[in-house]
Order: sequence, then structure tokens, then C-alpha cells
Amino acid sequence: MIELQNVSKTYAGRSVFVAALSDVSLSIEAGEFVAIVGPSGSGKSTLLQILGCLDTPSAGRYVLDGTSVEKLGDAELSCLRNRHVGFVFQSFNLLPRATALENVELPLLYANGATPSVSPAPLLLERVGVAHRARHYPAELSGGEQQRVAIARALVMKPSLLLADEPTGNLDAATGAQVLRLIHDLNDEGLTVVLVTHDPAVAAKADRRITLANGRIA
Amino acid sequence: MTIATLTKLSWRAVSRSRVRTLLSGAGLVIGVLAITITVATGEGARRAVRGSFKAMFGSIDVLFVQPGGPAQRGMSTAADAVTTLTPDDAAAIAAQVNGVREVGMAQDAPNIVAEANGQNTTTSLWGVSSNWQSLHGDSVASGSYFHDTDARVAVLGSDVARVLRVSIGQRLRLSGIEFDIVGVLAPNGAGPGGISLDNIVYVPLGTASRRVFNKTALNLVDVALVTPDAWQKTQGDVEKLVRARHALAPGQIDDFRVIAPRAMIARMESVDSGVAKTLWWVGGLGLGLGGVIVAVLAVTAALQRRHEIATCRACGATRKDILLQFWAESVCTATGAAAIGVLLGVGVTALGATMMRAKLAVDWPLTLGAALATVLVGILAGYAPARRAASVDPAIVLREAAP
Repeated sequence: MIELQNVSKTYAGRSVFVAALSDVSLSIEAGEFVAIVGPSGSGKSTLLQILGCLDTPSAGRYVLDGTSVEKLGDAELSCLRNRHVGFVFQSFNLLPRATALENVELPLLYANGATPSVSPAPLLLERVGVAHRARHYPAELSGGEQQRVAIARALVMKPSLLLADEPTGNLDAATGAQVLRLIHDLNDEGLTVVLVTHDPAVAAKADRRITLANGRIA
Repeated sequence: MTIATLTKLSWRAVSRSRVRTLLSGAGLVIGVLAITITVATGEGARRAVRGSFKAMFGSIDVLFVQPGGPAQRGMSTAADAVTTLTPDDAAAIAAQVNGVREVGMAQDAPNIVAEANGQNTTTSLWGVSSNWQSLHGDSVASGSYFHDTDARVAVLGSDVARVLRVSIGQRLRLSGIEFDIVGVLAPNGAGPGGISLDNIVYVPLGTASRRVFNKTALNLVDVALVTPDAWQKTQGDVEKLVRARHALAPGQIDDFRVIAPRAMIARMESVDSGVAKTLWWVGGLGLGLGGVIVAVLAVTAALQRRHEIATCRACGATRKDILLQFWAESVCTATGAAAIGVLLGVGVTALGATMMRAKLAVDWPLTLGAALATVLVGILAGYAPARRAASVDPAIVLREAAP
């Protein structure tokens, strides 16, 4: 499902080039639950962004669901993100002026014809347990509720890959555990999950751990 | 992204950020408002000026001749000592100038006391030739007009009849002389300069000149034209004839004036257009400033909403989607401002028209043109900020947000 071959990513700083990822090769099978761990600045988020087609590798090859990604333009990358990838962020990243339901429906607005005739958003809100908050704005929701809404949004286009960047980082232990259980349930249903975390306890529950250090797989 | 989605998203954005939308649209609203009112007042003033001339002279297609040279100030009245315009001049104009259909003659004086029924009022007294009514299109509400130039009869303006509480057949005294009331006119409203055309009493010219004013010289000769568009030529011919009759040597200044309502209207409209020009500037400036405000606030929004943009991009929005989304917000704001500006403008105009008892004079093509200009300002002002929003790199923004 995911194939990274010798992927590097460098950023141009003011005077030097910063290598965020160096020669990373890995493959992830469909339905796997993979945790990416490593200290801050080790390249975890960069790797996640490349996997999610938000960023492209400076060198190397990335194949997602049979599509070679590194040469694609903005429209194709956006389409891949829309149809194949769901993102969950540590800080939820809900649109402040949209209700929970509207937030979940956001990817549908960019689906360009791939929109189902009946919005799956209400069912998904029910699935993640916040249907009663559908008309509420993010500021009116607790952290746990916001993250559930974000997960529902990530699922609305029925993606094959869920990318979660520290999804429990801003939640208390109990709420974090609930969110994690939800992600595990989704994985049990066949969704491929790649999760970035600092937390060894969270990482321990993954099928596989990939440890990054200084932009390389340790 | 479909137009429907775009409209929905931009409406959501502008309607849920009310303060920003309000600030953003305020300048544009002022611009459209100023233009709408400018256009309406210009049109309203034009109609009012023409209306007042029509009310007084029955038509704007006349010339009127007054005694006294160009240096004479204001309207001449029978109280003035100037006696340079005679009934013979009027007869000569009617007989000798081509393009003259008919000539009416008048002597008038303001501040004449009229008494009847133990009441009194101050009114204008006009001694007029018997064709005056048909020349002016005055309609008689009750009774009839006079045709005998020497009878001691009077036709009253509606205000005089109302104040004195008189009716046909009764008598009234003007400057101590008794007249039989034979007719009351329908209300005429106001003439040029706002003078009342209803606080007026008409009596036959012969009676007025012999019994009231005690002179034959006229204050006003009304010249009805055959071809209204040729008024300038006819005016020249009348001037030539009267100069010849008054034996004025070349270089000697006129002892009379020929006034063309059309020229006066043109002059008033040109003064009016000076004011209009200023208001046009205010409108244009409002729109320009409004555009700058839209652009500045849209840039601020693009900067403030970087996380929102990055999130949309993560959810599959292309750069073009973001560009269109932000651009549509500016256009939506401008469209709303245009609609509000036009509504307010028409509202203010309607209120003004009601207060001044005038007809609503909205110039729709120009008003809608101003509204379209506003939308265009939104389109122009919103583009650069929208491009800026579209250039936000989601990878960088989301990395900033990451711990």
C-alpha cells in the first residue's frame, strides 16, 4: 500500500540546507497499524506529511496505492489527499466558524464529483459518539469531542489511510485512551493507520514501530 | 469546486465573521450610497426645476421679456419705476417676430392686501391679458376666467380663496378697490425659487393698469414659441426688435431682458452638476477606499486563517480552491455592500422625496452601474489577497502547529 524508496527531504534554510529526512525506505501493508516514534526534530512529522501527500520528497520514490506520488502536481496531490488519506492532528484543526457537522463535511466540498448523494457525516458523528454535538461550534466542544469530530472528518471520504499526528497529545489520559480505542477499532475494520507519537504506551499498542532519529530510520 | 459550494462557503465565511465583513463592506456601502443619492438628487433637482417652471409658465418652451436692463436685479414688479416695456412692444413681438405663437402681458405687484368677509391677507396681484390662462395652462377649479380686459373681476389662487373663505359671486377688495370674484384656480404649487403660485390674484390687465397701478408699462411679456427648439434664434430676434423699438444705439445697453427658462434650467443644472461632481468624487473615493479596506482585511484574513487554509488543503482543497474561496468572500462582501448601499440610497432618496413631496427620482441605470462598479471593486481588491491565501504552504503551517 505504501512504498517509500530512499526518500529524502531537505529544506532550504537561510544559509544552509536542512535535511529533515535522509534516505528513508519503508513499506506499509494495507490494514497495518504503524507507530512512528522518535525524539522531537527527528523527522516524524515530515515523514507523515510526505505519506499524506502534503509534501513531496526532495529525492526518492513514494508509491501510494499504486500511484507514484513524487512527480504529481497540486491538483493530483490534492485529489489523493481527498480520496485516500484522512488526517488527524494533535491540535484537532477544526474550522472555528463551522459546526461539527460542517467540519466533518469539509472534505466532501473538495471531492469534485466523488460526493455521495447522502452525506455520511451524521452517521460518522454517531459512530464517533458526538452526534448530539453536530450543530455545535468547535469552541463549544471539549478536547475529546473535538478530536472525535476530527476523526469523523478524516473518515468521511472513506480513505484507505489514516494519518494521526500525536492524536492524544492534547487530551487527558482517559479521553486519550478513548480516542486511541476508536482508532484501533477503525484499524480492526481494515483501515491502515500510521500514527506519530512520543508516548511509548501509545506506540506499544501498534502492530509495528518505526523509530526515526536525525531523519533516518534507526 | 462548484459555484453552489463556493457560494455556500463564502456566505458561511462572511456571515459568521460579521465584524470583519461589516468593516470590510462599510467603505463600499458609503461609496454606493453616495453615488445613488448623488444621482437621485441630481435627477430630482432637474425634475423639480423643470416642474417649477412648468407650474409658473405652463411650459418651459417660452421666453419672457422684462423691463429694465441686465443690471436690474430680481423680478420686476409694477411698483418699480422702470417703464421701458409697453403693450405696444408686446404687440410688435407678436406681429413681427417669426416663430412667436402668442404673447401674454402682465403687470404684477407683491404684498397687496386683499380683504373679503372681514378677513384679509397679503397676496400678489397680477393684471394679465385674457389669454394668460390658456397660455399657462392654469385650470379653473370653480367659476371661470375673465375675457373682458376692463371688467372689475378677479380670479383667485387657491390659497387666497381658502384664507379669505370666499366663493364665486362674492366681492373682495384689492388696494381698496372692489372686484367680483368670478373664478378660483386649482392649486399650482411652487414656481421657480419656491414662490407660491397659489397666493395670487389675477385681474384683467386693463383694470389693473388703470385702477390699481395707474400706468400702462408692463412687467412681463410672455412669448409662446412655435418651435421650442429654436428658442435661441427667437430670443435674438425679440431682442433685436425691442432694441430697435426702444431706439437703442449700438453699444448702448438693453433696457429690457429676455429670459429663456431653458437657459435658466441649463444654468441651474450646471451649478447642480458642480455639486454632483463633488458627490461623484465622494462616491468614487468611497469605492476606492472601500476597495483598499477590502484588500487589507482580506490579506489580514489570509494571514490569520493560515491554519484553516492548511486544514482545508489537508482535506483535499487545491490551491485554486483556496484562491476561489477567498476571492469569492471579497466578491460576496462587495455584492452585499452594493445591495445594502443601493437599498439605503433608495431608502434615503424615497424619504427625501416624501419629505419634499417630490416624486422618487432614482436613476436606475446609473444606480445599478454603481452597484456593478462595487462588485468589480470587490473582484479587483480580493484577487491579490486570495492569491496570497492560496500560496500558503500547508506543510509549513501544520509543522508549526506540531509540537
